[in-house]
Amino acid sequence: MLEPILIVMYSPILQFFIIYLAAYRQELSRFLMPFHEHASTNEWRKVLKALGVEAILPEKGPEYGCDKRLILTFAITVILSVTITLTMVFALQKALQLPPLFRVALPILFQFIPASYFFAFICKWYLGPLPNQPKRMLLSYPRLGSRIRHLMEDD
Amino acid sequence: MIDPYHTLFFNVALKNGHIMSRPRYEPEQEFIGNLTHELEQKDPDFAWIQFIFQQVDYSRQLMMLKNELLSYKKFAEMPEVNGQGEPRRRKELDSEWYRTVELRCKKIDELMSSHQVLLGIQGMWVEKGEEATQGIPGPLRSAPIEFSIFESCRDELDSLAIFTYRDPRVLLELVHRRFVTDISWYFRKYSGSRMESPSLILSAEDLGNYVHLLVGNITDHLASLLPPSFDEEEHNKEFTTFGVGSGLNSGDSPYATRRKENQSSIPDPLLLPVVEPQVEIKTSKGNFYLSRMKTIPQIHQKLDTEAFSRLKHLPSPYPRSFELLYNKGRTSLLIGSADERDLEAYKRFLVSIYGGFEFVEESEISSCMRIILRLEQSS
Repeated sequence: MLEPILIVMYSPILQFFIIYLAAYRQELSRFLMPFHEHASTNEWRKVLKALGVEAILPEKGPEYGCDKRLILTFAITVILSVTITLTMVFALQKALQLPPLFRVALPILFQFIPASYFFAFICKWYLGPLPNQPKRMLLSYPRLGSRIRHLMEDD
Repeated sequence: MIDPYHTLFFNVALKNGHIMSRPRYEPEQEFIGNLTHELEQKDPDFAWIQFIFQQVDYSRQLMMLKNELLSYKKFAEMPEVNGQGEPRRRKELDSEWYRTVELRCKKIDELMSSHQVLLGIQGMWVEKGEEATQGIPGPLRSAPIEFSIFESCRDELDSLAIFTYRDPRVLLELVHRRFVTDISWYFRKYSGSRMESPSLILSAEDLGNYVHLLVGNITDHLASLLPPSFDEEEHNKEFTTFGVGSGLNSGDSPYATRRKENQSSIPDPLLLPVVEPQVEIKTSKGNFYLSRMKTIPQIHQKLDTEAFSRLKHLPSPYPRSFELLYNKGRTSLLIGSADERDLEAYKRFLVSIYGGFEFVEESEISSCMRIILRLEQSS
């Protein structure tokens, strides 16, 4: 059985959550209320069906949050994480003079690389832009409008 | 064929999310005229702009927000104590957030002292382009829709801005005339990581800035208003005489006469042409009743102050809509309500202000939208 410390050291899961907590600390519930658009042709089909109308749609539309892209990003993250883990295992075996704290901390820190990569993807395509800083008079513009939060609320 | 590459949806909201801001357009009564003029200049294949409004009462939330701002002010003014026990000035005193607290509280007071209206501005835009007409998908549009008219609506705190979307679910919201009526979340988040509220909270007096018929000299320059079978003689007879003189009631035009009659039937502005709802209304979940103006009257004279101030009685407890449809160089005006009787009251009210004009029934998906989207009823 895997020790919890080994999971933390050699997988980017904890690091991913740390980045999420830091980035969305102003709005921790964001994962429950993701803030992004759905603009695939499939989404158009659903909308037209809901309206009770038929129309010809192009085969390919502007795609958002595509599942294929998610699988690809996940695969790259796993490859990155495994590569870093193997590199760290071999490197630490050779660096016997390193203090024990460093031997634990270094793999944990390096796992932030795949975690950041995966987080950047999730942030862009699923969770939506980072929350604004409190008590700022001006907000960045152009930005994704909040109307998107309230689509099909009554359905 | 629907072209998702050239179809954009949008809503108009406060650029910096200051929920108590009441942006206005100057000069008064020219907003819709100038908006139509800008539409003509941009000349999209199709454009649909909805103004949906409803009477609301957000006084409690406004009061809480004011208290929050005042608490912050108090905190900022309270000196902090440094390591040696000496009082020193807080850095919050230099922030713009602190400097504008009083202005924002004043705005909140103004809103609380008047009837409040929630106004949602949203729409759809189908870009004209060679790629679109040939059905060849072009590159994704990166630039947002630009309407200088909305950006000109501002006050000391904030201004309006357009937020664009490619999400087709907005189309459902447009067809069902749904707008965001519960904006409590945006009040709660105001001092934190705030976002703009999708609907504007205005005082009833401000609504006339956005929802009014086309008046003023600009109507002479709007080619899209002319009916398809435009008759110069009929135009001169029917429309140009309307409103000429010292006020709209002057002149012998049939519109002026009818307006006088209509006004006399509503002697007191407090007798609102509003249908009181039987039950509490939150959002419209059912049908929306719509009417299209058969012809858009070209009113050269602006409303006098008294008539203009009566526009504050436009909102009702039911959601009402005022819509501009621009299709192939033609503009149509639609009005609607979530209640059939309320729609009749809405029409009567507009006629009492602007004079007589005819309406025809319109479906939720208007005929011109069917044409532009090449839609066919499936059943």
